Amino acid sequence: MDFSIFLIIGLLISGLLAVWPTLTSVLVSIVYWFIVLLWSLNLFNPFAFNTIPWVNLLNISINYQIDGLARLFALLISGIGILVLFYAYIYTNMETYKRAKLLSLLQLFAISMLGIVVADDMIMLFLCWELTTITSYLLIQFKVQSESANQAASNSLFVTIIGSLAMLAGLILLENKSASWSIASTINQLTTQVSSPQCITAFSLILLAIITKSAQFPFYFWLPGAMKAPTPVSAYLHSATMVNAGIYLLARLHPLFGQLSIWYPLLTFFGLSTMAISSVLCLVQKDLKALLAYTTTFALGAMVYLLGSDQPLAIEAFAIFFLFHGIYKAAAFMLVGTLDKEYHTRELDKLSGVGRTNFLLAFVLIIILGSMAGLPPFFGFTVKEMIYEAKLATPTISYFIVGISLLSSMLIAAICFRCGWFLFKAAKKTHIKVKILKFGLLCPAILAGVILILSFFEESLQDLVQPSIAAIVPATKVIYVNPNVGSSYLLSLTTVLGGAFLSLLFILIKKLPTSVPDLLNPRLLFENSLNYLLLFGKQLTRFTQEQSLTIQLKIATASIVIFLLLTMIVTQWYKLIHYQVFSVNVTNLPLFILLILVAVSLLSSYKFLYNLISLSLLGLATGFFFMVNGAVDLAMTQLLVEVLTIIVILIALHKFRLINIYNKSSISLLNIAIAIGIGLYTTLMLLLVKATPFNPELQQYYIKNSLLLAYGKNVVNVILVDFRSLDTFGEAIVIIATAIGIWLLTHKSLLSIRKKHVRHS
Amino acid sequence: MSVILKSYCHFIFQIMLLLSILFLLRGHNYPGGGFIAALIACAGIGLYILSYRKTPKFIIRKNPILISLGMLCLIISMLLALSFKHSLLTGMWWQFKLFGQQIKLGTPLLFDLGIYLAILGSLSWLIKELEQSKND
Repeated sequence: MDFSIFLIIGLLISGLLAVWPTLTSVLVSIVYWFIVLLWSLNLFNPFAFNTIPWVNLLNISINYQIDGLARLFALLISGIGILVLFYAYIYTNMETYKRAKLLSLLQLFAISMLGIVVADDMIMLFLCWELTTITSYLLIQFKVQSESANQAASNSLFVTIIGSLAMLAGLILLENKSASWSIASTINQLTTQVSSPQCITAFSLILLAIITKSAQFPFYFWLPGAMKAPTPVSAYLHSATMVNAGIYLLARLHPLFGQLSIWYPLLTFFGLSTMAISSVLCLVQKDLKALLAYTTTFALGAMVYLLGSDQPLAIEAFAIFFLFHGIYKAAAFMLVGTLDKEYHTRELDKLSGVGRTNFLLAFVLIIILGSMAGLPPFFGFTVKEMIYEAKLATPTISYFIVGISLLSSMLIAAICFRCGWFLFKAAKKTHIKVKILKFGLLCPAILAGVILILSFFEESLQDLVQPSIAAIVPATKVIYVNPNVGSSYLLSLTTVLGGAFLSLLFILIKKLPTSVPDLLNPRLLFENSLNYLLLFGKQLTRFTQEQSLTIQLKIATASIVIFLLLTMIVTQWYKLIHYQVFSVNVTNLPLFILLILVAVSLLSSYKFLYNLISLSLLGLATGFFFMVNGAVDLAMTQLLVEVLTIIVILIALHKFRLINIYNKSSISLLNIAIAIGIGLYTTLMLLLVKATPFNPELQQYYIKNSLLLAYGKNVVNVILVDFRSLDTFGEAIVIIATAIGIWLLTHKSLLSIRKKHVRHS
Repeated sequence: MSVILKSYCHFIFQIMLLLSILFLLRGHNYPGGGFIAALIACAGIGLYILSYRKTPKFIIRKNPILISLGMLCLIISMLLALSFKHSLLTGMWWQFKLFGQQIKLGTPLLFDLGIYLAILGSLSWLIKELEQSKND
């Protein structure tokens, strides 16, 4: 089966879920993702990856790049996707509308995510990337009534859109350099010239997209804000997918930009600072979901930090950590969601003693917390050790970097231990009732089981990630070996022990600070600057548009004159004009004189009606001018428009009894200057048009083919309704829209109803 | 309004409507066309409103219907070419003999008619709304 068709089937399933959010539809979707899962494990290969031309003019096509990296990400997307869809079905029990919305958006989101990781064409990648942005926005503001959910959703939307616009610019720069939209061939072509300024600009633009999408310092704030989303969404967005899109792009472009000398320091800086800040912020969280969100940003920081290396060991650590983190984080989110559903709270204090109520719950909790903290029997310990080993095996390692990563890992471990202590301690006031957690525990339990199995069969995981490592770093790299054997093991052990010690300290202190100083919160900075921008826009609009029409026109015209004259001075195009006295056709001379006379008469009266008539006389004279010079259709249109304008204005004036008013605004020096400026500019522009050589090809084509191809003798009309009929169609739509606008304006009652509606909501 | 305008206006109005249809039909070979024809008709309607202070009943009862008819003509003329496997908006022509006369009909004519109806509908709507709007 063609993969494009498969993707379209996925979109159809999203529609199916929106219409019939039943268990059957969910099962269809689960089967769909199971096929993807089997494919990503290379067990089942039903797909053909054909290139489909899309926009031929720009060489954009739909084509795929399938390698280990794509399969690794598809594995997590589909694997977690299956569980999350099922979990979402359980989570939204009985509320059909909400269930339909949640399930179809989740499916759509997963499809666009799959699109990102299989795309080879940059435009396809960008479109899927934007689709994830939009669907995640809709998912985060799922509870539409909630003010904070809306705020969080728009924060995440703005932050990620800033990044993706930068990414689009970066991708276009890359395409300009390599003349291909394909990522693979771009990487191949540009490897030798990666340090050119164009490539470095592209890199910094794409890096901006990556750090915004993957919630790196200083943009990490949108991710904890996104916790307003329903829990299945959090589990999916923040473990397996959305935030990993940036990581994916980083890994995908690693072969190209990894050669830059700024790659390692930059990524190390972003990764480490994110790790450090999120581990500190994690400490003060009481809400379990927010706590998990900060551990996610911590993990993302660690991934970015690991990718800032070209050693296969580091990349292997990255791949394994990526997979492992996705599994335990999804499990943790689902567990928190289930607890929230059952006990109606996510506060750590209020949930104390929960671990003692249910055996299965205790089992899942221990596995998840143990993996997160990196306790020895679980796989998390091995992963931590690999991370340290990978970092120590980098030639440019410094003790400062190791120290920071050690400290922040220690903090995270301490937080996990503290959570465990809270959740398992014997509660004094037992407001926690023993409840039978039904299906809600099933999905986290499955994932916990997967973690347990992985802890025993590490080698199978190694085999799984090998192809993706090969896709990121070429096999020919020189491998640097860590001289101190066993030091990484010691470091992991130090992390666990130090974490245990710290958690003891935290438990003894009891009163941890519950908030951080605003200095550490870039969210406020972001929101404030956004608000100031809006305020600025409002003030500017008030200044330029909320005054009388005369002033508004004055401002508009004056700014046109100023800016256009400025461009004229800067670009110096006035030098191109031939200042020759062009001959005036004698037959036109009376018309010229008439035009000037009418213009003078226009200025000589203050009576509005008189001005109006002079103005239309000016138009009529222009119409005669066209007529004399052979443009009959143009002249007719001009005359009719003048007549119609006069009639419409007369009706309006008569209606509002304004027919005898005087135009009181005096002729000021400023007005004269503006008028002269715009007249001067128009004249110069026309002279410039005359100075550029005229290409008669199009004109001749129309004249020659008007009768032959379009059977019409009137060339103007043939152009309007045949050669360029799409333009005419557009113009007709503009006029229709104007009529509808006028209708809305005159029906004030309609507008006022809308206003009331807005005020109420 | 003056008595002279009032007494002649009905006559002028009818003439202008006839004129607009004439201009619509001759448009393809001589000066004229759908847009110009619609402007003529609207000028006539405007004149009528100015002199009688009411809208001519028989032509603009329901402007949205006029507009939608126009849009329908436009869209049909756009899509007809597609059904003959040409690209969008290609002009299609059919020739036949009627009473010994060679007659040519084509989608550009339908397109022009669509433009006429849409513009006539919108502009007369605009004038009508201005006339009927409450003075406050």
